Amino acid sequence: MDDFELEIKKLVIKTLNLEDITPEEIGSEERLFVEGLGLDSIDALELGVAIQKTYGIKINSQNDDLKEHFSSVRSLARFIASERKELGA
Amino acid sequence: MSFLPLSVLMNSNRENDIPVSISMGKEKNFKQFRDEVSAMKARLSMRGVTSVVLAATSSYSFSVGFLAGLHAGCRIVIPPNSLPGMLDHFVTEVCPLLGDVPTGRGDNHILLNGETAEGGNFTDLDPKNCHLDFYTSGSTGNPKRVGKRLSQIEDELIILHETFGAQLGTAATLGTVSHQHIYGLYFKAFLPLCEGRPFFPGTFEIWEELLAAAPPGACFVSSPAHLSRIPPREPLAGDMQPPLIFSAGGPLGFEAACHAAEVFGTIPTEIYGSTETGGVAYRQQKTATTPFVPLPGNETRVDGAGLLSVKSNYTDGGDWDATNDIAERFDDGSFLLTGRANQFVKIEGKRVSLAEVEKFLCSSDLVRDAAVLVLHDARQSLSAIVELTELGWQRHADLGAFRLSRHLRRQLSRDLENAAMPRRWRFVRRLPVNAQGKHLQQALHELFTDKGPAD
Repeated sequence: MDDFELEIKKLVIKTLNLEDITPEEIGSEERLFVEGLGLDSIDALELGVAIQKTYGIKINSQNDDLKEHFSSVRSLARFIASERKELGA
Repeated sequence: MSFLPLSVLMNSNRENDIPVSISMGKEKNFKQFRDEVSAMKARLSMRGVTSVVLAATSSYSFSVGFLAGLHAGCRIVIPPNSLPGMLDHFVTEVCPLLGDVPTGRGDNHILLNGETAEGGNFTDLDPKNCHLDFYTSGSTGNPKRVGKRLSQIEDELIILHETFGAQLGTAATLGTVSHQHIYGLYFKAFLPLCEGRPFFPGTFEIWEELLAAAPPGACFVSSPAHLSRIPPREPLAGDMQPPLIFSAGGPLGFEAACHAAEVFGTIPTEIYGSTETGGVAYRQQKTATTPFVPLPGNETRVDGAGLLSVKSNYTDGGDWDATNDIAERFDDGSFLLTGRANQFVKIEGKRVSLAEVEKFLCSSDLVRDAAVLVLHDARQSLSAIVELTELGWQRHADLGAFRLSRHLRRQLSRDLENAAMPRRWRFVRRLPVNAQGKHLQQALHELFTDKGPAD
């Protein structure tokens, strides 16, 4: 799981072109939006697109508490892992 | 569906059960709407205010406040957002806030709370005597007032109805943009309201939520920020495809327009305009060089430098208004946009004044001086070069450059919308300036050419 969290931290940095920060400096439980990493709504759109493209999963707003899944790297990792399991990937 | 102007809507014979808004699967119909306007009108009249600041999260509450305010004889001030720093500019005891979210402003805030009063008595408004004050970013860093009369808004809405009404039919409307700007106000709230079509009162931040809520054949009111970031998905089924997708705020890239058409089945209809001029022209990008065509009642011209001016029947005096855009104009009045002319920039469709961002940055005790510019990278991001104070350098040592930049963004968030907050940061000992004390643009840009150390 730690390796996967690191992979997601790298994806966040690369997708959003964050500067002056390394993956290791992002806390796995740190808030991604507003507080903590301070990402905004446009970042959310771009991150959503990148995650769906990279992992081939679908984000379905009807069934899921999206805000919760996107709250930290750890929750994102859990969310992506469980969605991929469902896809049988 | 018959179109009813805003000035006569409350006193009209529109049927009670015509839907006005849909939220969480619940419909509010015209009777509910009229009874809410009636209750708020009575509250405002009793209080005896003559002007209000209208800022709401819900387009439905906003519409209630708008008509209640006008029927109570108020001038209505419409700020471009409801950030606390923005509201501080406008809200006073004699000009209270009319809003739908508690703000801790006590008596200076009248809450739009859904109260109803049956059997309200309305007379038609005199549209030439109803006054609205819109605000946009100003060149000095302070919001700039753009006054309008209800008659101008009504004339524009009629043109939009004549141009798009037949295609819209009874389509519900969902938006990713705010009604605090004139584009969202017209397309997301007032046009549906006048046409008797329901609208979704919230602002959808992500497509997944909008698409999950959208009934078949609904119209989308969006912007390049969202239309250029559609998640990978199957194309919409035929009956789910929107009859029209609107986009405004800035030019939509041709590739983004094509991708939106693939996924949604409809090429977005771009509206060109501004708070000052209202809607001026529109186009559907069938090719990369499809020009904007003026809406009825609008004329265009360009001066020697290519600066586009617009003459509209719907602005004060019907005089020529210079825009901030450089355009290539064709003989039939249609035009292609080729650039921006001055210190305003467009970020994610929002008009941003660089002077304003610099002013707010410099108000931090961590910042001695600051320059803000736009980099023409993938995201057209706003970038800041900041000369720190001693205290600022201490924080820099404690937090590192990234965390310090996030801290400064949080400070800015009291006054600036997301789009106006710098994404890329450089902290320097001295800003590069020339002998006249002007920032040296090229030297500033070079700080971003490659990823170097932060200071």
